[in-house]
Amino acid sequence: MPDTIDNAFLACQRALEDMILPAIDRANPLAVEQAQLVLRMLGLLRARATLLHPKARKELELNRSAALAVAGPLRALEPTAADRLEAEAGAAGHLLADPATPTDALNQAAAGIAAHLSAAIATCGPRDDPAARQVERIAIDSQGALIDLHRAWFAPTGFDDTADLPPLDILLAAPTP
Amino acid sequence: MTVPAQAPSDIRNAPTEDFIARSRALFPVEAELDRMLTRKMRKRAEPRNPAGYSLDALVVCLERFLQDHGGPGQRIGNPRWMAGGASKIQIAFTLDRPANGGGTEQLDLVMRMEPAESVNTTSRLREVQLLDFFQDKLPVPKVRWLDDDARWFPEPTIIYDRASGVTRPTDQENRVSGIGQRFSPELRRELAPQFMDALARIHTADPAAAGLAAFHRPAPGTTESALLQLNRVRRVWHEDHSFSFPLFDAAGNWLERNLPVLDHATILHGDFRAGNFLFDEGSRRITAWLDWERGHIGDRHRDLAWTTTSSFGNLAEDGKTFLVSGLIPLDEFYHEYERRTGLPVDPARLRYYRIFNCYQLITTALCSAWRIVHLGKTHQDVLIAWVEGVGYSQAQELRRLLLEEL
Repeated sequence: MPDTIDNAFLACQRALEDMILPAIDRANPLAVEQAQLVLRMLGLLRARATLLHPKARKELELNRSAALAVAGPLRALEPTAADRLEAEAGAAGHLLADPATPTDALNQAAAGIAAHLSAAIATCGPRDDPAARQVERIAIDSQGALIDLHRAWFAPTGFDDTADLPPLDILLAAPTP
Repeated sequence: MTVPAQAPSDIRNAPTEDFIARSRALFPVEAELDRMLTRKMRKRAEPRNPAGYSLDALVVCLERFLQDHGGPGQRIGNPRWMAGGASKIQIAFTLDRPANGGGTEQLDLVMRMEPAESVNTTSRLREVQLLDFFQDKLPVPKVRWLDDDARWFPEPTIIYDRASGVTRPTDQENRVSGIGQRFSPELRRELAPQFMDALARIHTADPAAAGLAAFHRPAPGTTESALLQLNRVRRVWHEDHSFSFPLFDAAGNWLERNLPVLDHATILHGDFRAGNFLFDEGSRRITAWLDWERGHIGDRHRDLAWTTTSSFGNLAEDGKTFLVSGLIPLDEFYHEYERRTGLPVDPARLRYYRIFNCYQLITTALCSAWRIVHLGKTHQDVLIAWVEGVGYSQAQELRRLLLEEL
């Protein structure tokens, strides 16, 4: 079957570029600026559309890895929160083991882990305790791969110096620690 | 980061009075900012009304406003959108009116208004007070009128003189909001001293002078200044966020534990960088300092850390020297600042405000931007959606800085 999604993106881009942008009144800078941004946004979405599912899988893998990394040192401070993180990580493992898990379910699970991690970190703030600082440090460190994934995702917007960053397809294929 | 599917009952889309009251109690901020943030939340659930913010509709508002303020015989001409910013609605127009000595005069004016909800919720009253305050100290637009309580316009609005000049060399690529703007070495030589002079004039102005009633003056010798800023960002995050971000929470913990003591209360521009000044390409003189919406009274290191943010500058032709705002090497920037102001630059407080500014920019780019695009609150949602990527470069910087501190 033909790839109608990619074709449709291309058609939208060409419509904007060939017909709509030239017809916009140059005296309306907001309309010109926004039409150009819509064109660039369509280009970004076209490049990313086929990667939404692999990105959701990678994001859940990385959140699961962060949860397991934090749960260990957190146990000495907040055993219930540590149990919760390990349970979330276990559930994420099951979702990832099933190749048919839908994208939405992967996203929901990743958001759930992030919410529990955030709640755990909130409990560390007021503690004057080296163990709390260790939890924070591990949590911060664990966010690096996730942030890089999103930097690579948005690299075409040009706001970030991504010279040091591997391309998105390499990051998606990289093993998760 | 992953945004969970929004429940129809997401309270942040339609906050209750109880939610707003709890948010205000959790995160006390300056009175004027509390007024604006509370207004934002109370208006959030209002249905979209893009027609009410169209050029034609806003010109009708202008006509009504000028009928009530400008006297008889006035005529609005050539109303047109202005582009270049991401947070406010701006319309340029001319106003022909009877001159004092007879005949007519033509004013070149700008109407500057909050959209239904801005990526930065700020106060037009404060902006006017700062513009008035610096009228005889810096090139700034002269304010003509203020509709502070949105009686004539859909949102609080300023009308001020349109300054001449450009934000970037006309042969250079346009950058969104002027972020990362480039200047030739020749232009840098002319603009950099003016840039430093303006910063010194702002930071050495007396915040106790009359005219800044909408600003709280934090007490030196305390952490009040930093706490008010932290509370402001936390409140915005609390009211706007759609996802959990553990890095952000860890940063909040660190910022709260390390609140710096204020040594000297300073007037801050809040967004002092290329893109927020106009210059004349012929004379190479700065003609106006704009966008004072983030201005407040506080710690000068907040401005210094903001102005020296990596994404607001770029590398010189040698590929190594970082140019603050594309204009001046970093070391020279600090040296010149101390020489011109007599105020020392404290590396520890600079580090604190670097972390704080990342925290602020993440809130704007990933949290408020998502919410207002989701709810369709501005006249340029596609621009707001486009700049969301800024949040991840700031997150990477925040992570790096925090790992150095912890």
